[in-house]
Amino acid sequence: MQTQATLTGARIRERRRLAGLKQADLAKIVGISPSYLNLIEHDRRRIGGKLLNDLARALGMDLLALSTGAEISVIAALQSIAQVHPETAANPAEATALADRFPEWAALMLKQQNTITTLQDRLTALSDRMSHDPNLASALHEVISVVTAIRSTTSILVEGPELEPDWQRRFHRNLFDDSLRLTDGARALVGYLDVPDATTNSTLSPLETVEAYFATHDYHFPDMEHPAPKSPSQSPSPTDEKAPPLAAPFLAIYRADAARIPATELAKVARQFDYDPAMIAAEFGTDLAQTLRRLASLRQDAGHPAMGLVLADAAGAITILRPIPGFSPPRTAPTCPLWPVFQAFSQPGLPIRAQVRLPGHQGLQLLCYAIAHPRTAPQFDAPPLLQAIMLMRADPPAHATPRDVAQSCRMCPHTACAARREPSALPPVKPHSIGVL
Amino acid sequence: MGQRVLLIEDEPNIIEAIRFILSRDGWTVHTHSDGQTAQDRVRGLLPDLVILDVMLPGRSGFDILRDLRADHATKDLPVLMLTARGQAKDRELAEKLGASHFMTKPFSNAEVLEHVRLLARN
Repeated sequence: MQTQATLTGARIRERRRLAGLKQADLAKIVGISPSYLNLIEHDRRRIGGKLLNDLARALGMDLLALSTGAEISVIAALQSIAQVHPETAANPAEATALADRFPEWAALMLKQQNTITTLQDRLTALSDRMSHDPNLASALHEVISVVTAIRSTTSILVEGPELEPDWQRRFHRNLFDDSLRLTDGARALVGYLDVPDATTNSTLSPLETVEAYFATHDYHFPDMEHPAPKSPSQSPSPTDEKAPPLAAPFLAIYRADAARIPATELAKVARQFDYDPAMIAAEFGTDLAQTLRRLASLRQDAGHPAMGLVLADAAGAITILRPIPGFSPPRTAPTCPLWPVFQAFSQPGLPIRAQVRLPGHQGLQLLCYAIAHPRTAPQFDAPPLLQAIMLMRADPPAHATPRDVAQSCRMCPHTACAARREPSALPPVKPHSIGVL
Repeated sequence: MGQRVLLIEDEPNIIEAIRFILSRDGWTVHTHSDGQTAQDRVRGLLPDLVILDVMLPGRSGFDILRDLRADHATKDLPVLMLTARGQAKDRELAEKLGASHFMTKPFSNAEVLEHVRLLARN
């Protein structure tokens, strides 16, 4: 089986052809012989360093994209699209080749799929609103009632025998009154159904707007780190004006976390304990959830491992505060219940550590730390409102036997999984550690 | 004195229009606008026919119809239902509860008159 790395030659060949270059042309540009380029393009010579860099520049490609191929998240998203329309016979196994050979077309497909998903969500929301909104039902009832009165009255005036002058005046007066009511009713209805402000990003749901905001910042806000910058112009603002309103509670938590676990000390202690949340929490005297959130703020470009952070509620709703390749639950269907973040709800307060393995993705594994905790103070005669948090670390050190998880049942090849809700669209594989939690 | 019809409807101008066309056709038209007290009004008047709107203040026309059919004095009374909602489920509910006929707003005067005459004759 070809890996991402061994497909480098194929990507070079594909991009050269797209650019309309002959092997001799490209070889001349980068200063090698055509025969050597031929070997590279057929993956018979592994390359790197300056030559790879020169080839990427000559082909107008990003170095990382040329050497490692498409991102895992892009491939996973393309596979998801193939599952949505099984009647097209698009083979999910070919998603990697598609993303590698035609990255721009893959990006276009994903953009269109995002648009479709967003429109479907909006359609569902509008449909719910039309069906169940009492205000809309009331506004429509008002309009129909007035129209009914106008129709009956005009019918009397036009279709029947000549009316007495007093009756005529009475009905004309009624028509005038009804016309005013109809004007008000129609205006109210139009206002109610008016399209959103074009300046707002209407393609995202409120939750997706929050996630996009945090993804843009990579869950890292230097202005909120502790200690506060001395310059007044750099002082942490209580609110970020560009932040979506729903992000405010998350930002307040971030600020409090940063004050409790300062960034400089965190970086040092995290390295000292190899990013073990329990040991770091003990060092700072903080709770585990707070420690997981702080670890997620560590930046990869500062030499820390890639981290992902998600929240879940007891209904299974997910909020991604820091995305990580490998965790991309579907928006319109339930995700895999075997993720540790859901296991945490079985025993609130109990820390869970589990290494998970994703299907496909060249055996991608994530080390997950999760814990469920109450969101509110305990109250008598009221159920606790629980939230689970999960930190995911990429490139984990060797740990226990990984647990197989997936993004959804449709995208999971483990047909014998006890947690399966619906059939898989992928070819089956032998079961590993699949089972109920 | 002609046959009596009780119009239970809360829109004044619809009341006036229906009252006019039925009166002109020889009916004695009584009106009532409150859903809460509508059943008492029907029992007190015992008209030859009831025209009953679904959306009324205080009580739904469906609830009123259900009680009328459960009352020995009014169980066979012809009831013409009027509604602004023409969905199949509303029509089915009206039939299930025993409406004699179901009309969706906006309706034509001729249509109302035709069904009032028909229901009263039966």
